[in-house]
Amino acid sequence: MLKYVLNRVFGLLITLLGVSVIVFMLVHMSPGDPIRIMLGEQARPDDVERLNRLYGFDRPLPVQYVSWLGSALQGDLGTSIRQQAPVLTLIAERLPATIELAVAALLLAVIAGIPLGVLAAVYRNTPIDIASMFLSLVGVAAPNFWVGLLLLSTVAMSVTWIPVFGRGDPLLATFWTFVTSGNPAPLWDSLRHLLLPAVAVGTSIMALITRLTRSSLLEVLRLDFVRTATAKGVHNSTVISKHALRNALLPVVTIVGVQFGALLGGAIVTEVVFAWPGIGRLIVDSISQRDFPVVQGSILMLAAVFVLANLLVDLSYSLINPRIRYD
Amino acid sequence: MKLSRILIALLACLLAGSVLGQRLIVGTVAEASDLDPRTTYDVYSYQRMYPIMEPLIVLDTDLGYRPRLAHSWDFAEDGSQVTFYLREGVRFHHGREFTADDVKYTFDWVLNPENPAANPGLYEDIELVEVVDPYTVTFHLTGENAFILNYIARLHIVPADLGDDPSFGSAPVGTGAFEFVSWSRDDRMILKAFEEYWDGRAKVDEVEFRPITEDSTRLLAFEAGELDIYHGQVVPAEVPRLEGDDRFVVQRVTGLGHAYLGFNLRNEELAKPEVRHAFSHLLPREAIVERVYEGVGTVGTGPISPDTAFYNPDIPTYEYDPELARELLEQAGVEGLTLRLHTKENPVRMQIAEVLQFEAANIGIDVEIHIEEFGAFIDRIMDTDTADFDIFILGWSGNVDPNYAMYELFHSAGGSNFIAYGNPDLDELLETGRRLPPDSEESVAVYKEAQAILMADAPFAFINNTEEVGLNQSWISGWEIHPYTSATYQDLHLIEKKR
Amino acid sequence: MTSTSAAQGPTQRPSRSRRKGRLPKALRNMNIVLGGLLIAVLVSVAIFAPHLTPMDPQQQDLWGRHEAPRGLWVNGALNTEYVLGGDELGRDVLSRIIMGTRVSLLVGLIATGLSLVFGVLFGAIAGYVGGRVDDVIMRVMDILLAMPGILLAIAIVAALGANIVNAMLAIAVVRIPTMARLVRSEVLALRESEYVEAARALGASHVRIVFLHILRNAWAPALVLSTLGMGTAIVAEASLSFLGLGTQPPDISWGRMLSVGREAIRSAPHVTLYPGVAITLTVLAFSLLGDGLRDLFDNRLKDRK
Repeated sequence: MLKYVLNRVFGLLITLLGVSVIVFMLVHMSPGDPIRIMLGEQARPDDVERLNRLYGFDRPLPVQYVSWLGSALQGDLGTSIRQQAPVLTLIAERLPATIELAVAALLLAVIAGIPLGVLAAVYRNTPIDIASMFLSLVGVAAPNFWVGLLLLSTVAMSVTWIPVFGRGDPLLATFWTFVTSGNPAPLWDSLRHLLLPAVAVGTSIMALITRLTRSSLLEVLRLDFVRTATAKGVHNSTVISKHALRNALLPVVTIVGVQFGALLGGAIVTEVVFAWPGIGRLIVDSISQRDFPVVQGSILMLAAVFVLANLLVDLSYSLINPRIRYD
Repeated sequence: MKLSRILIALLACLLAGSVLGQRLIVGTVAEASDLDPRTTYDVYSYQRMYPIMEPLIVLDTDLGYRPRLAHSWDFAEDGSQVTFYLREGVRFHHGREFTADDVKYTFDWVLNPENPAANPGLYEDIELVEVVDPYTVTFHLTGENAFILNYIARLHIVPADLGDDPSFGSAPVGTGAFEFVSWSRDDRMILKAFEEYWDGRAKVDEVEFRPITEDSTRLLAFEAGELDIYHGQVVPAEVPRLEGDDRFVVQRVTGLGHAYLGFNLRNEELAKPEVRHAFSHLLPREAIVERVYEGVGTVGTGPISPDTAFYNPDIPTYEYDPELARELLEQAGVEGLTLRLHTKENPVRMQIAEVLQFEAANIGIDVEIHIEEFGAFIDRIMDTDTADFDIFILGWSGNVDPNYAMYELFHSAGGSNFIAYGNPDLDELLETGRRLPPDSEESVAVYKEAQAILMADAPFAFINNTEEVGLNQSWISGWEIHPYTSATYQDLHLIEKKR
Repeated sequence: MTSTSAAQGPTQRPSRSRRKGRLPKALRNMNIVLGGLLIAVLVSVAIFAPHLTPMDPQQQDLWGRHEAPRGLWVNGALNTEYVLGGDELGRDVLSRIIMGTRVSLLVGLIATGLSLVFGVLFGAIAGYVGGRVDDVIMRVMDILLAMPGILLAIAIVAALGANIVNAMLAIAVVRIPTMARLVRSEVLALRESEYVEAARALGASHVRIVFLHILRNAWAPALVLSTLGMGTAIVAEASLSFLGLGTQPPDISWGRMLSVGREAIRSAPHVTLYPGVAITLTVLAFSLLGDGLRDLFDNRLKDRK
């Protein structure tokens, strides 16, 4: 087991190194000069050249990469060209917002998706089932950002307490305020800002969870122990909630884990639409501004979170299910 | 009875709260990159800087000069120096008094080639900054650029004791009406009223800048009452509707920029004036302004804004006339032409490109549209070694003087002359113009002649003159949008919010 | 065991157990029938698009800008003008949606095709050859997988230039690792099977074994993944176009229509609404078909056992 873990950690480091090389190459291959972009349509060639020299962008690319890697290994991801702030600060400002949105979207998806899936399974082949399956199919198919735009122009414009854009204060902070001082106003403000973006992002996941819950519940309901319980005269709803659902939810838990990783970088367009100050926006802006240090640093950070999460998931499998062995 | 009394008390508290803590919410088109006036270039950073820091003088909304940190100034007889007399008793937010040393520090920093200043070229004309006494500072000039005051009016004074702090740009200190409080990027920047502001405390207590890059989202947020004011990138298609809504005030003022088609004169077909004239006649400017811009802005007539004294109203314009365009092409002996049209990803410019493509196809010219991301696009246009383009759409803004509007673009040695245009007569006029006193008749005459030459050569086809659009809620008063976009919040302390 | 193959083992579980979930028989057939029917309609629309458009999709009329939808019946007669309204240049939205079917299907087809070809190639080689080759290939796949897909696609398009071909390439690259992993695991499972052993004993070449014996039995899950991937690719193109990195005029793509139309979502919501409906319908069709196929193949596998 220890050998396995060490092996995985080594592989993880190689992966991250590979990510940094690929991102470095891609960003430097992109036509466009960060200084020129920064100075805009009225840039003067003299200024472009002077600033490139001052920032050291006239050095050979391998030299730039090695010097970046050297500082990165010491925990310094460099300074943004455009924003003149440390890359780590920029990431630290955004990551909580992105995580907050991802968690909220997943929570919504689970809260709505599981009951819908159970309902569909219990009332299999009835209009309820067909309706919920149709809903989930459409939910998966509709692009998030399109759903977001529609929500904005309809719901946010007609319901006064639902804001159109932006984020309230960090949810954790406002929750803490509520717990310590009993003042619910900031918490409420954070929550109402979170609502629409979370719905826009969560819809497709909800749809996925609905389908998954339904199919795996149907599967479990056919299994022997459930049949036995039913035969013993245990009430139908008890069978489902106590016996079947618990077993049916394992794949749902897995999909939630996978989706969380995907959401960290995948909600970009939704972040743009709702002016949500997340990391996806930071990266997209930085790619278009050719702000190399920020792109490298933040994609590397997301990749690190992703591979670490995967490692933890795999390890936890071996704990949950002792049949999986790594030898 | 008791309950209602409690309710009334609660309500009173709420009302009192909102009266005591008025916070102005300002929507902006993009996040600031940095708040150091010396190293920053973009409009959205400057918009946030104006309330925090101040230049010696500012441009008024009619583009005249107005005193700010300097209460008056005068030029030496021969124009070789300009002296500013500073206000006394002005304090920076950290308490120290503002003096001539801060002025010298700021300008010296920008002129030092070792420092990463964004635009030192504008200040090349300054030879030396001399501190005469704490409240008097003299700039010694080379006389190469008579419009130097316009550029001095764009540089905010940085406190000498804090300016070298590497974090200055993310938490600046100035003499402005608002103190910097906090900034979480892409989310919000908060400023609070500076109690000791020399021109009187601001009428609101706090200002919150909210960047919203999506034009549609920003407008929806404004309509929902979540933003008090915003300036710039108002979707043209929505302007007529907003103007008919009495909850909102739509402010419009002639802008200082234009969009144009640039023709690469290295292309042998585009080098023929007839071909360029043909394209200029192909451009349905009125339809574009009327429909694509929904009447925001005016038909493009040249590089100089029609509202300024330097504008030449006697130069011929290019009317939309596809038949004439076809004849011009025949005259030039051009057939079966295929040209690339480059533009950046911008909804309005893409629409203009498609309009031109459509018009050109009607007279047998094949225009291929190449839409590129800004970085790739600007590299293509600005890289004079490869010059791999035929026609492009670009804009030029901030034209507070004719030198700024013409020199870099049309002088054969101009830094932004990407199309290899050159006319010795025009070069000479542009060089003469920048040495003449800006308010002289000679200066106006020189630039009028320059425009006549330019319009005949037609290296550009001017599409439109911009118009600035600002929106504010009816509960906001005391805000006047500025034709110079960066300065639109320079008098933020005069704005009142009654809600 | 190497880290890559270990990573592959447990993470495959969810899709395994998902695959086991079955819809009732009637509905299952409905999935294939409905999805297939929708796709057949879409494909014929794409093929015959120029003959189906009620107006010229490129014809501009700046005075018909943002024209409101008129519907099919106007004054008791069939209407063909601006049925779904006009766009920002006064072009007919319905006609453009019809023409846009081509780009969307093409993007899906080519991006998915490319990822299928390369995914199968890499997956088969990695799984069959094993050892160092397996390590290297799967390591590269892991690296690609570690980066959020849409971000990787954006970076690739930024590097290569924003146009439809590069958008397809970028989407394909992002999807290769998933396909490679799937194929690799199928190959691993079949490599030691009896009939492959038999083929080997008969002296069949490696290439023959992989392509004739192994892949012939591994195509079903790859087909399912590809069908579902069509939808993902179409949404990806829409996202890229939304960010300004996709199709260029005069080509028409739904993503770009939506992206440009959103500017005026208040005054002219139809320009944003209908292209989105078209995307949703198309993706829906492919996920119906994909689901149906999956159930079908799962049953076959079970029957075989």
